[in-house]
Amino acid sequence: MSGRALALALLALAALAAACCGGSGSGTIDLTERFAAPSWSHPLGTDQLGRDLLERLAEGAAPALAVVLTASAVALAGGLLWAVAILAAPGALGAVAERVADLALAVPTLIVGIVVAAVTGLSPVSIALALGLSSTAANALIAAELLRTARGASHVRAAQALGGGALWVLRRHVLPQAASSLVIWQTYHAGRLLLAWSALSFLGLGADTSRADWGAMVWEYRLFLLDHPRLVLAPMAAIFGVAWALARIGDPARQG
Amino acid sequence: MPGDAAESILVAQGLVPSPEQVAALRAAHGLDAPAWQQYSVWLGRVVQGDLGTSLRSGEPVLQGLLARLPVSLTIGLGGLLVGTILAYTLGLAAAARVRGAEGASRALALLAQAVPAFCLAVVVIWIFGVELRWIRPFTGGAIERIVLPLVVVALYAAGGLVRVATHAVATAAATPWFRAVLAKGLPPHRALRRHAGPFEMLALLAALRAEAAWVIGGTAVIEVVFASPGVSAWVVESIAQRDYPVLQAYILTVAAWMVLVRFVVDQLSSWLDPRREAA
Repeated sequence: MSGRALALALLALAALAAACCGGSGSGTIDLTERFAAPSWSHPLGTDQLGRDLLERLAEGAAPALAVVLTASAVALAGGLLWAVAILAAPGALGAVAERVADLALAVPTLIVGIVVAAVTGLSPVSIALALGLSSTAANALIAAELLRTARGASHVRAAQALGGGALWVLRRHVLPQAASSLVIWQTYHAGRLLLAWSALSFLGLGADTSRADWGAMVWEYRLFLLDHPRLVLAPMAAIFGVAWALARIGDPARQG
Repeated sequence: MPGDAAESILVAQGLVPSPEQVAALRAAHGLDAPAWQQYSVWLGRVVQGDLGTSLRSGEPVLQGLLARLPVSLTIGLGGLLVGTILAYTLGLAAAARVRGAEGASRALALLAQAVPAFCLAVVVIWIFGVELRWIRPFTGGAIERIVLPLVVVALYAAGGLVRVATHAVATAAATPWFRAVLAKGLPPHRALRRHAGPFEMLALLAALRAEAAWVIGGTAVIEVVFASPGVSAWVVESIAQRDYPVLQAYILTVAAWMVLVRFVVDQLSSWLDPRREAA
C-alpha cells in the first residue's frame, strides 16, 4: 500500500470512529476490571477505572476531527478574505492590511489558544475558532502571493481585456487557480492544528473531564507509564497517526 | 467579562465570594474603572518600569518575570540555537551524501509535524530519567533539570528548520557560481561548507524569524511537563487564575522579544550577505 493510501485509510478510520462513538459517554467505569490486559471484550485492555481503552480512543476522535475541520475552514475562508482585502483595497490600505498580517504572524498560536481556553473553557468550538483565526494571517500572506501570481497569468489579463469586472475575474479566473494550492497548504498545516489542540487538552485548562480526549488521555495516563505503557502509548499513536496522515496528504513535495 | 479576577482570587482563598467582597476587591485594584482608564494607568506605570503586582500572590510582576525569564530563555534560546546548528549541519551533510543524514532529517521533519511536544517530553523522561537513569529531570541540579527540555526544544526547532536547510543547499548547489567553484578545483565538501553554507544560513535566518516566537511562546507545554519554573508555565497558571497583570506583562515581553529577534536577524543577514546593505 502506498503512503498516500495508508494516510487516507487512517483518516477514514478516524472519521468512522468519530461518527459511531463520538456521542457516547466516556466509557463505563468497572472497578473489577482495572488495568485488564487486551482481550476479546476489551481489544486494547482497560484503564485505571476499568474503562475500555479502545472505546475512549474512538470517542476522542470526534473532538480532534471537529477542531481540525472547523479551524481549517475558518483559516481558509479568513485567509482568502484577508488576501482579497490586501490586493483589492484602495491605495495604502492594502499595504496596511499586509503589514498587519505580518505582525499577526508573530503571535504564537498556542498562546492564543491558551487565552481563549481560559476565558471560554476548553470547548472544541471555541478552540477551533481560536486556532483557525490565529492561522488566518499566515494563510492571508500565502493567498495574497498566490493571487498575485495568478493575476499576472495571460488568461487573466485576457479576461480583463475582454471587459470582465474585477470581482468577476477574481471569482471566475483567479480564485480557482490559487485555491488548490491553498487547500494543499492548509491540509499540510492541519496536522499542526491537531498538535495544538492536543497540547491544549493535555494542559487541560477548563476541560470537560468527563469526555475522552487524546491529549487529556496522555495527561491522565502518563502516571501509569511504567506499569502500563499501552495506556499512554495508545492516544499518542492516535495523535501521531492522524497528524502524519494530514501531513502526508498535504505534503507539497509529493503532489501530482 | 467572563472570569472575574476579583471573584477568582476570593474563590482561590477558599471563600464563597459575596457581592460586597467582590466589589471591595475590585475597587482596591482599580478594576471598576472603565477599560480605557485602566489601560492608560497601566501604560503610565509600565513606562516607569512598574508592571504592577500579581493579583494572586501580591508579588511584583517585574520581579516574578525577571526570576523566571532566565529559565525560559535558556530552554528556548538554547534549544533554538542547538536546533539551528543541527539543521544547518544536516542540510550540508545531506548534500554531501553523508550516510544517514537524509534519513535523520526526514525523521526530524516528521517529528515536528506529527508528534506532539508533550508526547516526546513524556517519552524522553521515561527513557533517560527512568529506564537509563542518566538524568534526574525533576530532582537534579539546575543543569540536569534543563538538559532534557532543551533537547526537546532543539529537536522541534531542528525539525521545523531542516527542510529549509536541505532545500537551500540544493538550490545553492544548482547555481552556476557553485559549479564555477567546483570547476576551480575545490573539493566538494569544502565548496559546500565555504560557499553553500552562508547561503543556507541566510535561508535559516529568514525561517528563524517566525520560528523564534517559540522561545517565549511555545514552550508552555514543555515547561509544564518538566515542571521548569519558566515564564510559560507561570503564564498558564496565571491564566487559569485570571491574573491579568501577569498576562499583560507577558504579552509585552513577547512583543519586545519579537522586535528584538527581527532586529538581530536583519543585522546578521546583512552581515552574511553584504548586497543587502546596498539595497
